[in-house]
Amino acid sequence: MAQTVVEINNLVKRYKELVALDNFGLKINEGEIFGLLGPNGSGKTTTINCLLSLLSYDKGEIKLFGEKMHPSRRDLKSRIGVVPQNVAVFDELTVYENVEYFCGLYIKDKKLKKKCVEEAIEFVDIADFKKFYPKKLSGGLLRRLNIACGIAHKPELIIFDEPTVAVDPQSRNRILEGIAKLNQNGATIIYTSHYMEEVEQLCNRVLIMDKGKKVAEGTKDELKGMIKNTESIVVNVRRFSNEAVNDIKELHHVYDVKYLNDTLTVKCSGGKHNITHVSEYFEKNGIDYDRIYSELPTLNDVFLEITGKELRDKE
Amino acid sequence: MQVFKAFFKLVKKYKTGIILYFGLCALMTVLVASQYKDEDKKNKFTSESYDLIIKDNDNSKLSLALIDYLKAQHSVEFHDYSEDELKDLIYSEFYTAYIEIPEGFMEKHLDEDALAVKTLYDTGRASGSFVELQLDTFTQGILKYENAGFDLDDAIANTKKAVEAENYVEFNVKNEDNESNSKLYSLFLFVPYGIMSMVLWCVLPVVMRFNSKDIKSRTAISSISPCKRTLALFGGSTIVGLMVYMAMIVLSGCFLKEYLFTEKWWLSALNLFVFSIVNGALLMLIASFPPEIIMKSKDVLVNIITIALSFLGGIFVPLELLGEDVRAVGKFLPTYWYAVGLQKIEAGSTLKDVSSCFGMQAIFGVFCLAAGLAISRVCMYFKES
Repeated sequence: MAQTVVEINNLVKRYKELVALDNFGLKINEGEIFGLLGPNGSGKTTTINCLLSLLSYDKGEIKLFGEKMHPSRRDLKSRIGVVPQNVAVFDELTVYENVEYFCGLYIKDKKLKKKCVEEAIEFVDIADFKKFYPKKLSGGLLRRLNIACGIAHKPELIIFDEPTVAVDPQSRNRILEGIAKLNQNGATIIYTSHYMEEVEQLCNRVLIMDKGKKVAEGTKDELKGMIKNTESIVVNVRRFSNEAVNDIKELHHVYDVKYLNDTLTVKCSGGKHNITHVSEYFEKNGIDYDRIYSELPTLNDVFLEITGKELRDKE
Repeated sequence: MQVFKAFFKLVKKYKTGIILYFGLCALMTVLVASQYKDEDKKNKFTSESYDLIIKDNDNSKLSLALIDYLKAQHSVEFHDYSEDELKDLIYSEFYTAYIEIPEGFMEKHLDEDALAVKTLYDTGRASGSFVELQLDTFTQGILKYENAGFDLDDAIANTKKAVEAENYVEFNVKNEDNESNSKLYSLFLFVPYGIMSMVLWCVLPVVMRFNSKDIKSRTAISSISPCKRTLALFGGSTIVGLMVYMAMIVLSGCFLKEYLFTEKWWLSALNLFVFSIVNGALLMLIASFPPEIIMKSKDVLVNIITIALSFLGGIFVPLELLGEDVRAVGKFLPTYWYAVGLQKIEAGSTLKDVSSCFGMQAIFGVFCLAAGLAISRVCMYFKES
């Protein structure tokens, strides 16, 4: 059985009257890529900060690697790597010097440190920019430098706090591939993000939180199984009457129909061949349509249905 | 050690600023020193030294003490010339005077009439009279001490001290440009402004960089304790302060050759050393405020602090010219106590007398550290709540 790397029980954190974490709890096993999802202000960063002992908390218990976490537990901290949301590097130091500095906070041995620094730089593929100052790097390279600083000491648990914010798609893919590779090398990953597709692509298990509480937890499929929506059928159609909308609503397994901007969205719960039933209705009634396709529910749908709001501000 | 090393890597990036301020300080030093280039000629008193021939027929404790006293100031030789030869040598100015101590000089010295040291000099020159005057001063001094109840040994010792004290007389020549202050005082007076400027302009941004939210958090979650981190930053700042201090001491030393390693110089250097340490504490106090506030107003803030401390503390304006109210405020500042200490040193005070000024500066330093700690706690409290 895999070892529990992180265990949080009944964590309560209050900012005066505001309850940031309300009896929050989670368990992360060794070797997992654990996605922590939630809208702004849901308590993700507070959870991470409490986990790292950067913030004190009012109640509850945090265990790392089976031992109670405390600000003075340097031994536990040395097993963790953090890639913060904001790029936290020294503008006055070169890429190499930055990675060496943060690696040196954990590793004293000069030879080992040098090896780790070289490997981290190689890992995030910024070896060509070793002597560059951060100001000369693009957004994507900066993010990769940020990652190198967090992983150089080869931590067992790595926390990525929205590492792909404001990153071009090419760099984003490289970062995601890198994270997956770190996980393959044995690191346990906690990944927080607003980007559903990243979480879907990367994480084994996902926890959705809102208002400081755990809303849902499980594998992607488990989460999707928790909601009513199992399939959304989208039809691009012009001039679709209200009567036709009502007719579609009457179809088997259909529980919600919306027609907006020449797009009909039919939400189904359970059932097979739903798309066939909808297309048959169009053919039977002689209604022309441009395109019809089926979408499986996303984590965003899960979140939307569970919390009633979008996970991410519309871009 | 990691924080410490990175601190110096970052300080290196600001070396241009340090060099610039050091250049400015060097310029100020040259300007101040240039005002004193004729100081030696104007104010320095050096007693004349003459060539004397002595014949000691007594060879007693008293005669030897008298010869020692004369040797301390003059060039003394022992020859046995005839009276005519002596007259020729004195006339042709090979020697200033001939002194013959008679046999039984010590035995009869209490008898005023019998106490006669034979002298031969050119009465047309003042130098011979000056030497005779010195002889009289010494022998009269011994007589007075013996009449006061001292034995001969004590009388000799006390007379030596008394006649040596004459050499300490200082000429306080009023000079409109420099008042009565020495070059040492003037050169040391403005140095704190240089040290404050260099350290606050060039080290404060480095400390603030380490204190920035993201870097601080990243360091806090590492295996380095916050205490070690703070100590490394304080140690680094202090070392930079001391390096600047050493540079300033060397720079001023180039213009203070005549004062080097004198008691006044040591005390002035110690005074500046205490100030440099206190300046490090002041830096830590400023750095304990949230970096986002400090970095936004760094330039204005550093200017206000350095100039205000310099004005109120009597660095730019002599303390005597400051009003009572300003001086009352200044008493809370380290620059004031630095300037007062320097004034005391200038007046010839000892370490014991000046230590109160060092203490007052140190108290300010301790206050800065304590206040810095309190501010950090308050900031942390607000962050947590």
